Amino acid sequence: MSAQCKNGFKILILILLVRPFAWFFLGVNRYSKFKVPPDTPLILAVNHNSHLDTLLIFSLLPLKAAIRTRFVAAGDYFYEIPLLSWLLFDVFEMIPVWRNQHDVHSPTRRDSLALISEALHQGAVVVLFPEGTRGFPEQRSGLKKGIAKLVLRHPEIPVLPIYLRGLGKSLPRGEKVFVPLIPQIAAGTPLLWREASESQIMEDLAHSFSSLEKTLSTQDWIPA
Amino acid sequence: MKDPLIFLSAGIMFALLCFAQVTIEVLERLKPGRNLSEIRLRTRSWWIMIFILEAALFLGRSATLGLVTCLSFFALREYLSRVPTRVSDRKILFWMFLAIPIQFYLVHREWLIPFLCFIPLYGLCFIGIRLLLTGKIKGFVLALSTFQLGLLVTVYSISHIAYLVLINKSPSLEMTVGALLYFVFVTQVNDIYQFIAGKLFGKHKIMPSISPKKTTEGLLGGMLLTVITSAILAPRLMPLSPLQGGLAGVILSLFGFFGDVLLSAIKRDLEIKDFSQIIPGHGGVLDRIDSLTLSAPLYFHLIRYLAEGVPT
Repeated sequence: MSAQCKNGFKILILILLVRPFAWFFLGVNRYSKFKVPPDTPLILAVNHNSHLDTLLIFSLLPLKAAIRTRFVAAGDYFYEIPLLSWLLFDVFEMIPVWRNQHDVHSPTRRDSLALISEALHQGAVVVLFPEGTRGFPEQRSGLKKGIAKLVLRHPEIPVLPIYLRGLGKSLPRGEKVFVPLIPQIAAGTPLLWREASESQIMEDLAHSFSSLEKTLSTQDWIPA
Repeated sequence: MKDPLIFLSAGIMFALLCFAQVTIEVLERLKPGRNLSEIRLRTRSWWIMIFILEAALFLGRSATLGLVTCLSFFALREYLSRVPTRVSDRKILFWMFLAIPIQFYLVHREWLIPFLCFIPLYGLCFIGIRLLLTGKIKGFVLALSTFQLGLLVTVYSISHIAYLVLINKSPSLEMTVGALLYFVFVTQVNDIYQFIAGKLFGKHKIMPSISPKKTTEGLLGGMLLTVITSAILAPRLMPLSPLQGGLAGVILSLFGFFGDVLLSAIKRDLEIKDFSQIIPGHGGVLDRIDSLTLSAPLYFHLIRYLAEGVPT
């Protein structure tokens, strides 16, 4: 598929499927959209509760940014699903990460960090879920260090932290029944590090997530 | 055959909106320093909302029922997004959404008795039993009551608005829009009247802990104006006398007020300002239709009794 054809296909899917779905079922409208610089590379760090996170982020980005958005997705999980893997990795060019040693050391698998760097050099918006996995609904889990390694490689690229809440109520891990509910969305201010250590970056990011979490109502869910 | 009221009401609404838009433009010119972006956004949303309503009425019965179904869906979605839910009750939310197509199918078939008893009887029982099956005791009463209130306010009550177009119609018409237009218009006008009366004469706060801006004077002054408007308007839209129109005005004004306060109380308790931001400048669908939630069923029964002479 040529690049132009691919972009056209992406736009069609976004406009005809993703956005109408997000509007009707998740209550996203153009006033909830993120403000993203038009064509500079950017890293989005998003907390992860549900498969719908990807769909929601796609519909919250302006179209121009959405077509140059590359998600980082678990290769070991999504390559197993036939049609979806084609859509995610071939059309939307998601970047696979490998979470087990077998895949990491396989000669056919390319290093994810190198792939992300390449995408950023091409001006992509890279979306990372630093929690690594969806975990329990609406509970934060520890952040993985991959993002700090990425920041150290590209100190000039800002990281925009985004906190989502509520999709764990719509479609949490391990559930098949989808319930249409409106998520809460909090976008932080872009973070930039000059000469920071790995632990400093992780600490800042975790702190940024906590302060975003505090701006949202936590009354929607009774943990029990 | 189309009800001629559709075109008349569309014309009047168009004139009112033009008037509002012109007023904003003039104010902008006269006082350039004032920030009118909020009221501008609100008016923009009014254009869209009125366009959708009139378009649905013009397209006919199915479109109108479809529109009210969507409103009910949006309202339930907003409600369930915000109320505290136990993890174990997640699947019940799905069953609650399923009540919407069933309830509106009953409206479509004009099965009055199943329409009236499906949610309060079968729906609420079903939720109760389904909740028992989860086997979780802690928070049981709270969960049961939040779900039941949600279904009553957002599905049962709102579905009466759809049924309004099906009562009191002549054989030559597909539906009559008088009762619906009257209901929506008078409720909105009543909100404005209460706001203005409150601004002018407001002294005694009526419910300071829930809505600090609402006053007894606002409520009573608004009610008086609404009753007068009603007595003039009702005979022109429905087969009612001015006295009966005035009575409908009392119901809409008083229960419109309480519907508004009920939703405000829920929002206060949940510590949120609006249920969502789907309507720019207004908030969520549930914030927009809050005044209709309590008055819809009462008004439905009143109109059915007055216009058709049958108590339901």
